[in-house]
Amino acid sequence: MARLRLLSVDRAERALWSWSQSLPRPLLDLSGLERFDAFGLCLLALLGWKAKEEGGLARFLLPEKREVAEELARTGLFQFLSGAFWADQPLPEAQGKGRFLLVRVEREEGIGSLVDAFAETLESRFPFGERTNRILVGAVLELLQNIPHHAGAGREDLMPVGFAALEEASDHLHLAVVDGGVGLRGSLSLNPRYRGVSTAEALELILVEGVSRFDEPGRGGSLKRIREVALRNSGKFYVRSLDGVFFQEDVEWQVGRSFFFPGVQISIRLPKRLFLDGAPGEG
Amino acid sequence: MVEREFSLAKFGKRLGTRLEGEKAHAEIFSELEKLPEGGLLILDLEGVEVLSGSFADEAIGKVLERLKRGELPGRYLLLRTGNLELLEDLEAKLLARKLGVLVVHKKEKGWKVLGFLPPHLFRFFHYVMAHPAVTSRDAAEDLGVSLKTASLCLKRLAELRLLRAEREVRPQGGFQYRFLPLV
Repeated sequence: MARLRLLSVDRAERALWSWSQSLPRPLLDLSGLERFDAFGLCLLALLGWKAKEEGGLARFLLPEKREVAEELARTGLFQFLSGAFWADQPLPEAQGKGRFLLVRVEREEGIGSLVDAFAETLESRFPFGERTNRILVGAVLELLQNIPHHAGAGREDLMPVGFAALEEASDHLHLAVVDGGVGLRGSLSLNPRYRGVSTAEALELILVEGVSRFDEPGRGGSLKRIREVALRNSGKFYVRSLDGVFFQEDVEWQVGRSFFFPGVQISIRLPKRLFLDGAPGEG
Repeated sequence: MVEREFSLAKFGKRLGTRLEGEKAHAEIFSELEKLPEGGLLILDLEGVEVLSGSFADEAIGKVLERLKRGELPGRYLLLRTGNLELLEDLEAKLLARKLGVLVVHKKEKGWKVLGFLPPHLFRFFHYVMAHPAVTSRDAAEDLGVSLKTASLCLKRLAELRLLRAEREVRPQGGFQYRFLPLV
């Protein structure tokens, strides 16, 4: 594979395929990296964590560009992988706060404090106002609790672990949430009514129609609502789960197929101008 | 009428997960149990910054569901907030469950039914809000419907805990219900 220059939601598929083939000892060649986004960062964290879970080790070739390596270190990625990774050079000093906030989610009980930390960081670093914070924090709350709910749904052997990252890019806010669990189809098919649905059908049922594995009317629908928030705010919404991909930009959405990778990986990008010019719309 | 207040901010500024919602559900239901018949519990959202759909469904939606099923007869619940935007995710859950709850706006001194109010009950509800303490006979005369229709619709609103129904003895014998707004 040619040296990776950009690790972003639009460009991560090929790298993810290559790295996932070499688990549990993936070689994450970031030597040519010039830029990464919240989604790319979450994938690195997830791959590193999966390597550790499977008794292996993620091997990092760190970015040659000093500022990129420093930015990666500042995200806290390597603290989460502590003791379970190898790097080709000493980690750079991670001083100050970068444009990323990365958190790890394990148990539902811990989500409240993670969300509080997330919200406080949001208020201090991205002062866009109460309404904006409420939208983002609300989305984070729902997405984070999906990790313990979906990641290990029906599987005693899976320890639900996921990562979430918030990035302040030059023109948008980017929220990414990933896990390596049973995936949306795996979760939905726990309901006998949806047993046997394809990944594409599961994505459409959950993200467009708002169904869930529960028959209870008040359950489910959070991912659909988050998609609608992105839609109403001219945002971009991307979900990858197992061998399916869902992408929404403007009013159009599409579902496609890809190679298999476990779990659910979500990216939401909302234009920053909406937050700076006034209150965004909601779903 | 006995009124008690219950602050949701006791669970935090950002509410939260289903797990937290389950704890809140237990406490809210226990407060309702302590009320005498005819009592009203006011859920105050002062100090709450985020109310997620999951928390709201567990803590509020499921309590309303139990009341609708007939648990704790004669106990009522309403919400009070200064920021209706907070309730958008709750509203989606209530619509999914076909439930409604009365919300009082703290600053503007107004009210609204959040969630689901069956269309055929709409004018009966608004009639009682505008004419407190009416009987089915009053409603039937003023709205031009049969006594049976008025009686059924007002009784349904009381079962949904959107109106209070007080039983009273009629001077000519028997009993009748008088319907009152929660606020």
